Parts: sequence; structure tokens; C-alpha cells
Amino acid sequence: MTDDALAAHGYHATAYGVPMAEHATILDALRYRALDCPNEPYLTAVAADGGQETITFAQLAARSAIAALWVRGLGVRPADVVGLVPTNDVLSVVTLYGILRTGATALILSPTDPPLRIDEQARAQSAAVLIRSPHVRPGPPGISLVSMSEQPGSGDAGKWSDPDLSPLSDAVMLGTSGSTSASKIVVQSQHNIVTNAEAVRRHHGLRGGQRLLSFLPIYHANALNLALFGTLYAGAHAVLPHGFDPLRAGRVIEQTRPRIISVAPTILEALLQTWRDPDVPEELEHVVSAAAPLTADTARAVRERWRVPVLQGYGLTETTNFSTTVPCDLPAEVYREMVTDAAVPSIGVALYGNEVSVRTAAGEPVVPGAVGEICIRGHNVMDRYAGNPAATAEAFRGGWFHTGDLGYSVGRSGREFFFVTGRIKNIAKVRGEMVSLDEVDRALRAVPGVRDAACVRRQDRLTGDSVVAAVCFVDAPVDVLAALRERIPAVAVPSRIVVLPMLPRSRTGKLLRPDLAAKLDQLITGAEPTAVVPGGSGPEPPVVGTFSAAGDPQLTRLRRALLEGGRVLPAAPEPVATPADPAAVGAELTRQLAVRGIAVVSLPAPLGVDAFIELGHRLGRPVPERDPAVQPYVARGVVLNLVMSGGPTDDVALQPFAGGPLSLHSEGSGRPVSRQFRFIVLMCRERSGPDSEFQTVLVPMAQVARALLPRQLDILRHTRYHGQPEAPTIARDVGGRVVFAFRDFVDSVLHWECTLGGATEAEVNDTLAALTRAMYAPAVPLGLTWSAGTVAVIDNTWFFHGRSAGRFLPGAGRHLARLRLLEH
Amino acid sequence: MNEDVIAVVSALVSRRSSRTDGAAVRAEGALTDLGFDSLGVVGLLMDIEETFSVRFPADQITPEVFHSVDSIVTAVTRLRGRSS
Repeated sequence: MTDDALAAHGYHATAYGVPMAEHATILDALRYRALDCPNEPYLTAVAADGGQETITFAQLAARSAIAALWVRGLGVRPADVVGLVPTNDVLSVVTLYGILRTGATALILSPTDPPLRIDEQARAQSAAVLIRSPHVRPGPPGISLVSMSEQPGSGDAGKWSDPDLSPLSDAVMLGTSGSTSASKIVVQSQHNIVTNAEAVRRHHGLRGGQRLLSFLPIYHANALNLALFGTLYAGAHAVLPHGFDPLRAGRVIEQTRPRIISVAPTILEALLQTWRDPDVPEELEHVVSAAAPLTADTARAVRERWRVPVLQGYGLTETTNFSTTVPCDLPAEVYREMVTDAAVPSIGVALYGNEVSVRTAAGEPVVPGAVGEICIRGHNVMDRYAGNPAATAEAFRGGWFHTGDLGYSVGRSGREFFFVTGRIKNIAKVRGEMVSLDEVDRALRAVPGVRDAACVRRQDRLTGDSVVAAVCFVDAPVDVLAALRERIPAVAVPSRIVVLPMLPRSRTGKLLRPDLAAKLDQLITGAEPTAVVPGGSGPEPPVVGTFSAAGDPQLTRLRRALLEGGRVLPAAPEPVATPADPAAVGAELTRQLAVRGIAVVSLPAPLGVDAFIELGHRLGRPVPERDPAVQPYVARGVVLNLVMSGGPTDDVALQPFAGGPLSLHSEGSGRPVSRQFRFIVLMCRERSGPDSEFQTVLVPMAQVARALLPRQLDILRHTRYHGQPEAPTIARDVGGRVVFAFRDFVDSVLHWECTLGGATEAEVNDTLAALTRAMYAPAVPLGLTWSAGTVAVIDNTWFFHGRSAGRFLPGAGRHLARLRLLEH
Repeated sequence: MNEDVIAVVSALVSRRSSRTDGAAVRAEGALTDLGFDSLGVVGLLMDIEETFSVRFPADQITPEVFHSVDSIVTAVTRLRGRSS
């Protein structure tokens, strides 16, 4: 091993290879369990028709010995590579252990890959033999896929004896998920596997007699390392459905009564839809979610309906799957803060056997709260990428394994919690599997008849991400999807193909992927079949109408109570004292924003204009202030000085500078989706007058959404400002949250258009009135009070904002500097 | 009325189908033949509930009900009759 590789495998002061677990190899664990609890169940496989097959530890030992004899009979020798295409059933699991018992390395391949690709991967690793589940199709002539059903059903297991294996020997090889032809093959050692098994045993308190149900496929590191190896190591009982069938999955949970359920977020989303009136087993203690980002809404829904927490975990195939997981024993308030009330739920704390660190591109650790690359080192870090020393060296550079994920950490209750914010590379996570967009681009462009092509990822509530491709044809269109299905894994095949005359590229030919994404988003959103009138025959033209809230006495009362009531609203939140340094301020603001969509710090003195702009660049892209009416107040083109020195005015453009109240709104509600502001940064330069004057009022969009009926939200999801086709709909779903682009129109009118079939003009107007009233009647409105040096950032997708004002007092006023930012 | 429901359900099924050959959706054809996978069926369930303003009870969320356009139309018609 190189110095970097050695360092990347160290765990605090413990060098790689020093025993970290009760057993040195997973085969030691198998022999131990067969003696310790021979008649306890190890695995229950649930077939598609609901039929169950269970084997005990002793049966696993006996049957895997017979499988090992069969595999050896195929000519396999220790240290050979054996390709295995498994499905979730007892025979596949027995065969896997049989391969491991010969001392060979199991190259685990996906049954969803095309046969040609399976064969290519096996050849690339010089596999001695390629074994498939009987549920996997044999493949075309010329590809030898031996069915595991050919092994004898019984035999003399006593004839088998396991070879002595080094703990550092290769155990399994797995493609990095979502693999494409350029994917890398990860080699996990026996030591990796038992270290991770010990880590999950400790973290989840796994022990004999407990059931862990995994809906994930065993050809992935998650189910392999947790559901199969983790349970064997702990003497627990794995329950393995053949796959995830949302129409039957609830029944499987009710029948098998697990203590832990292991899922990906898409599975949770689907279960929340289909498992209705759930009879949640008393034994169920928690759900482990990994493989893709969990949303707070999903975690909250599970907590409310099933009465159990979702513990998000994180890891890669390269780190033997689990590097972090949310602890089981969190106090309720910490769980809320880190999971259900967080913008993005935490991935938890580092597990035993590995260290997690957020680091800069230069390899230095960042300060807590600042974003950097998530890096890992420890005994769970893979041995290497098979046959790819350059990629291995790149991954281990600087003595850490580089995940390619961005994130940050937050200290709470004496523990360091980690959060993932995104990927460094062009990666989509479809159904929990990573898909390289660059690889899909290459596959698209290789299809005959395609002149140019590229793809983007779109968020999809059920699949996480989906891949959408834009294609330019040489001449007549060709069947791109059929061609791709032969070349790339099913999960990487785009869900939709959009034909374009040309792609947005820079002068140097570089693909402008954000522009393409915006273009496709516009085309797809516009072309989405609209909901249909019940009993009707198809989509209808949009309904248009005019809305006015003027003269709504209830609204007038609510508006006045909130904005002119003279009360000091609950702080949102208390400012955190921070040194006046843009880097430190940016880190603290980023941390707070991720948790609650609003961030407030208190500096010893206001930042200068340049430092303020630098702070803005750390959070997003400052947008120039172009309105001629406000130019006298603009500095450096992007900073607007909101100097409040006069009484109320009716001039809308000058209201931000006046002493009267400012009605609730989201910033730039009529701007195109791609130019919707994400953050409003405000810094107080001066202030005088009482706190009840000039508070910034914040109303959480989540509270507004909860106050509306599902039908009303549907209408708002299909209604936008009339004549502004690029503007978003008034409500839209972003990352599992309802986001509004809307303002209180007070005495002016709104011309709107609605594409929801069946919605009448009166119904839309009622809905807009309900929305406006809901904005002014939140359960908990929040307020920001200002003093010189206070800096606040409002996430424009989390809060409506406005300003309260009591009686105007001569001499009272304030000066806020404002930046409006687009997302990076 | 039933023909309207058939037309709407067929349109929703067609929209979720991964088939790109333009094949018509047959009312009695299995959703799996149209390329529906497990998550596609859940998406269809959500589409149907949203479009028809109905809610399938737990005992109606079964492979039998979500087998084909025909079986879905039967269930939707029954649910709409119940709610009207």
C-alpha cells in the first residue's frame, strides 16, 4: 500500500488490519453462528407470490458447504474471481456464501444489466466462471452463464473444509452503483466486511432473535453488507423480499414483524402512498434510509403515521456502505432539529471503525458549518478499485477516501452530525443508484442517427432523480431508448427524450447544462398533461381570471393585526454572535439556513460594502439591481441600501424605503423559474426606534401550505401569473416542500391563468383569497429585529416576508443593506 | 360516463407508460406489458386519485385492481359512485 492508502485505512491510532471485530472474516462468523445458535433463523426470503422460505444458521452452513463443493467442481480455486448474478432468494444467498467459502472473490453483478454488459464485466475481471440466479435470463449464445440451480440440493457437507483466509484477502467485488461501461469495480476485503458488520451491530444494537427487513437488492452494497453480512455477524434474522412491490410491501411488514426496516427514500415515499391503515408491528423500532437523500417531509410522515423514527445513513460501496447513520438514542428535540425540522435531514454521526471529515479542495479540514468535500478514512474503506491503480490513488489522495459528495457538519449533544448538500460531479441518483450523466451523454451520442445529445437530472418525488435527455437527430428520429437499453443499465436509461434542434453550448462547445436543464424544465412543465376533469374527455385550455383582495374585511383585519399590531414577534431565530469575517459569517449562515431556512448572526460592526458582497458570493450569485427607481440607493450594482427615513407612501417602488408596513410576499414572484431568487441577505447598518417598529416579518411557507386544502394546493400548482409563461406556478414542489411564488396584491389586481381541468374562475379566486388569508394567519409568525451589525439571510423558498410598522416616530428609522441572490 | 373514465384512465396510463412505440393502450392489457414497474404503479395511483378526487381504501390497493385499465376503471367507477 502507498502512504496515502495506508493513511486512508487508519482509524485514529489503529492501523488497518488490526482486529476491530469479534471475528476476523465473515466465514469465521458463519462457523461461529452455526455452532452458537444453529437452529435460530438466519434468513427468510419472501417470494413474489408471498411464499416464504427460511433457513437457519446451521442450514446455511450445510448448504453453503455443498455450494462450495459445487463451485470448486466448476474449476474455481482460492483467489479466483467468480461472477455472481444474484436475486433476493435463499439459493442466491447460499451460493454467495459457497463462493466465499472456496476462498474465491465474488464479483457481484446486477441482474438488471444487459447480458452483454454482465459478460463484459466478468471478462474484465478474468472471472473463472459466471453464475446466475435461475430468475436471471441465460443470455445469448456465446455468453456462458451457469445457473446456480444446477448445484445439488443435498450432499455431504462434511466433505467440505474452509481454507485459511487472511483477513486482508479480497472478499467481494461490486460495481460502483449505477455503473456504466466506465464504472469502477470496488474490492472489499474480509476485514472491511467484518469491521462494517461490527459497526452496524453496535449502532443499531443488533442481536440474536431480532429481525431486519431489507427491501433493497443484495447485488448492492447496502443490502449485502447490512442485511446479509450484518445480520449473520450479529446472529440476527434477515428478511429479504424478492424486491419491492408497493402493493404488497405493507402486508410483508405486518407478517414478518421486523425490528428494523432498511429502505431507500423512494421506497418510503411509495409505502406512504400504498400502506394505508397500516397495522404497524409493535416490534418495529426504526427505519434505516440510505442510498439517496431523504427529505424531512418523508421522515416526518413516517414518524407521524408509523410512530417510528427514520434514521438516515450514508456511505458508499467504497466504504463498505455505512459510514454514518443518525443515532437510535437521540432526544426528541435533537431528532427534530437534525431530521424532521431540518432543510435536509442529517446523515448522522460517524460509525465505529471510520472517521469522517469535511475538507477543502486543498485537503484542509473546514470549520464546522462550512461546506467541503466529505472524506472518510478507516477500516471500512475498500482495498482498491480492481485493476485501476490510477483511480485508487486518486480516491485516496492526501490519506483520505474522497467521496465526491459535498457537505458540512454541526456539533450537537457532544456529537458531530453530518449533512450532505450535493455532488461534485455530474451525477444523478435514480432509485438510489448513481448514474453518471457524462456516461449517459456518451451513450446517447453513440447512437447512430444522433447528431448531438445530452441529459440532465430532474427531481422526481418517487424516483429521487430522473434522467431526461435532449437529442438532436441527423435526419429522421431513431429509437434512442431501444438503443440505450442494449448499452446501459436500465436505471440509467432516460425517462424521457425531448427532441431539440440544437443544444445550448458555449462558444468553445462546452455544454451549458444548467441552461439545458432550464429549457427542458420549461418544455416539460408546459407539456405535462394537465389533470383531467372527472368524467371529462381530456385536457382543456387554461381558465383565466382576475383576482382582487381589496374589500376582503377578514383579510384587512388579519393584515392589520400582523403588520400594524405593534407586537414584537417571536425571534426567528436569536442572532448568533460571529466575528466580522465573511468566511466565518458565511459558514454560520450556511449552517443555520440548512436547518431552518433562515439565518441570523450578530457582528461586532457592519461589514463594508466589499466584504458584504464577498459574503453574498459565498452564499449564491448576487443579482444586479436594475430598477431605475431605486438606482440612487444602489452600491456596486448589486447592493441596495434600504434607508428608511420617511413616513408611509403609496408608491410601490419606494415602499421598501418608507416607514409604513410592507405586505407579505416572496421576492420576485413573477420572475422565471431559473431566475427566482433563492436568498435575500440583509445587513443592518443603523437603527433607532423601538423593536415593535420595523420588524421584518417572516411567515413559514410550510405553515401556509398546511392551512390549505389539497384541492386548493392542486389549483395553485396549476395557476400562474397570466401572460408570464416562464413564471413558476404559484405553488410548486421543491425537494419535498411546497414553495410559493406569490405576493399579497393588497389593493391591486392579479391576472391569472389556471390549467387544472375542472377548476372554475370562482374556485381559483376563492383559492387565492384563502392563500392570502393563510399568509396572514400563520400559527407562529416570526420576526427579525435589527441592530447595527445584524445580518440575516431569508431563504425565499421557505418564508414569505414583509415588514411591520407601528406609529411612525420622527427620528426613528433604519438602514439595511440588501443583496438578492440566485442559487449557486 | 364510464367511457369518459376509460378515456381519462387510458390517458393517465399512456402518460406513465415507458413504451415509446406509440402502441395504443388496450383496456384489458396488463400494465406490466406497458413497461410499468412498481414505482410507476404508485405514480399512477397518485395521478388517478388526484384527477378523480377519490381515495382508494387499503383493501383496493392490490395487484388485481392495478392490473389493467379495465380493472382500474371498475374500481374508480365504484369509488366515484360511493362518494357521489
